[in-house]
Amino acid sequence: MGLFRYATRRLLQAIPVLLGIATITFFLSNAVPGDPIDIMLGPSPAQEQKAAIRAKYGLDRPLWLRYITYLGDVSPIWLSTVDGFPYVAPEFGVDLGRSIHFGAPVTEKIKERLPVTMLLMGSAFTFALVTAVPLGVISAYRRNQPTDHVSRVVALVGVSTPSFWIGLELIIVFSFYLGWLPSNSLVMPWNLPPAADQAGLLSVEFWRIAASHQVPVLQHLILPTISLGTLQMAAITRIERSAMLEQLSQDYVQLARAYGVRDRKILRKHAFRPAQLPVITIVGLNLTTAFGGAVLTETVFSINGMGTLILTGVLNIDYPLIMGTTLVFGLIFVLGVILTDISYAYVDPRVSYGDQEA
Amino acid sequence: MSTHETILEVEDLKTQFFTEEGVVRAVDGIDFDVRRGEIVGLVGESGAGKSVAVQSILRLVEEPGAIVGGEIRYKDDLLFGLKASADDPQERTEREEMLSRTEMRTQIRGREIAIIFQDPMESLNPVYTVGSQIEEFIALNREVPGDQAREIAMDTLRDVGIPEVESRYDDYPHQFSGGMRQRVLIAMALACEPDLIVADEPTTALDVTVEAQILNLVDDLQARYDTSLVWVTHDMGVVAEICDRVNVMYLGEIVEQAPADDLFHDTKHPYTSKLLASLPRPDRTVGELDSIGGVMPEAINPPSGCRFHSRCPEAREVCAEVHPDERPSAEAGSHHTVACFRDDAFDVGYWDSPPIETEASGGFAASLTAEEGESG
Repeated sequence: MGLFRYATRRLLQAIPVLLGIATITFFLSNAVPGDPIDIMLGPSPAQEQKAAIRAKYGLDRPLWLRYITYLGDVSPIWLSTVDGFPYVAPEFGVDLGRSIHFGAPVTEKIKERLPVTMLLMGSAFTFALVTAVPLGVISAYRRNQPTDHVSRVVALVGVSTPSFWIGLELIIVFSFYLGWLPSNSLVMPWNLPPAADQAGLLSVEFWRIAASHQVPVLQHLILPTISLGTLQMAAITRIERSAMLEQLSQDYVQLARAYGVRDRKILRKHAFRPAQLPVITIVGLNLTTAFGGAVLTETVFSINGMGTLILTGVLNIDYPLIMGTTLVFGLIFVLGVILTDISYAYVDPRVSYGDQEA
Repeated sequence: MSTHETILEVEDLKTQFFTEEGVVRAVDGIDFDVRRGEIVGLVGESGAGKSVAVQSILRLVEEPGAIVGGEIRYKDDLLFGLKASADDPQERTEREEMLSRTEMRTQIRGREIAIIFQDPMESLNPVYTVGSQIEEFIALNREVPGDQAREIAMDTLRDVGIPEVESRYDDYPHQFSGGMRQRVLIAMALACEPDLIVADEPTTALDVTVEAQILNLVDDLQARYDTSLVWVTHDMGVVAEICDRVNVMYLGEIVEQAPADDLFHDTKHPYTSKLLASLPRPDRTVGELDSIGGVMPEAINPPSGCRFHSRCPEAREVCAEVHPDERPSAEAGSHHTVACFRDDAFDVGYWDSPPIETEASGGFAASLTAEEGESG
């Protein structure tokens, strides 16, 4: 019954959260000392020019009016503004304003940058899960044996090494000395070379070009993926190990053993599935907090993603850009938490979609 | 019933745990057997080694524990047995005819001997449906085609009294009450059609009315399926209800062994008497239950002589010095064995030996340990 209703309710609950984020970032970024126009125009600008630009971005209006206008622009269907004064009328679509630094709409910038970060994050977490889950299971199964000790050391090193340092070391070794892999930017899998468009979607040539295009995509991805994913891998390995150990001592796992189930199947089936709850929690939360790690990784590898975008915003006191990117991060966080809760209920039948809370 | 062939024979079984504090001699040389179609009780306080004993039968004891001696025979198979090593007479190795780990798993566990654990709330996997869990074990332990496993599972669930099996089959364990889960676990054991079911305190976690239902059910089903049972409990009332023969365990040893009726009416060992006396009885009003003074000593450092002497109201000096082995009682005959010097089968001068002060006779130490026991 509940999955759709549950998801809808959780999404509605997200609205006040996002409203809170918008409010806090608006006032915080305006409280920061410094003036974006000063940064933009350099030392000793002409007063008229300054005033003109202020008026262009609406910075000459009082703070409360700018706040209400901003909320109206950001909310998809609520307020509209005419001549800077709010009135209630339906207006659809999200307007995050115009970036002072780039001189372009913030929405456009985010559309351009978000897929890059998504690709990096997806790749890093795939790498982390694919390595960490088997490693954790094996070290739980062979606890206190050499395999376990090795995985423990790997995890310890992984947790305690800063991701930007790993990134720099990787660049020095694999790009600078060995020259095997590129050290900067990402290539998007769908940004095909012009030759592909000429060949047309149905031609064999198109798919050949598309396939060979994935080679540079992977080459560019490998180093940033390891740099961002190592910390996650280490953390997930430890969680997976302890969760599996806890499961292996459960009565129902002992019972399976007493009924002649093979060790492998006990690991794969009886212990594995109930052990995934803490892992899901960690992955769900880290997926969102790892955006912070993405700032460092993107800087080290000169990747034009969300991380470098928010950094640009902060360095230039670009109010609309800071607020827009923060809102997007907030939205991703809220969605991440909802997805985590939903997958909980999928793994554990004891977790219901919480109708009694409603 | 007792004329049937013996299917399980345990001889001088020793299981120990190698811990940092020392070697815990959880099971220290016990002998007992189970005949076909019989319910054999294994009774004792917590810590007597009952659970370890039954886990040893299936060789489920895990690190840091291990079976270190004795023999376990099931029908024609040797489940456990050691012999002196050829190279070093001190060293003891596994006998060739002893079943390998794989053989234990594929031939014995579930197929021949099934187990029911103590806590029904913890014994079912919370993320799989009740039906699928039974089905998995049936498919594993019986040669039946895949679709038939489901039918067998449903039939057995009906047998143990689960209502509306069709609709409850795909429910998850958390949707069942404790008593219902214990029925499911019993069904699980029965559905695999083993010849022996080992039940490790299966009713301890249940309330008394549910316990009574389960005991009746087991009695019924046991007669119908003709399965033998080893029933582990600390409750003499349960023993009286269902057991044919009883083994009383104290600190890793069996101290008395007798048919259930004899045990109750012709009790030989003081420990058994104390267990019986500590049973609450509705027909008698007492101010305070007659509990056994003191607590069971640690199995790392068992007391010298008779292990029960430190808490025994009948203890005399000889009890602290000489260790009694288990012998057929002089008056009750060969089917009733006891390990107490008060029996005439022993000739160690018990009656001439002076009585000693013990926890049970109410010395200073006794009141101390009794208080500890209450607060803990």
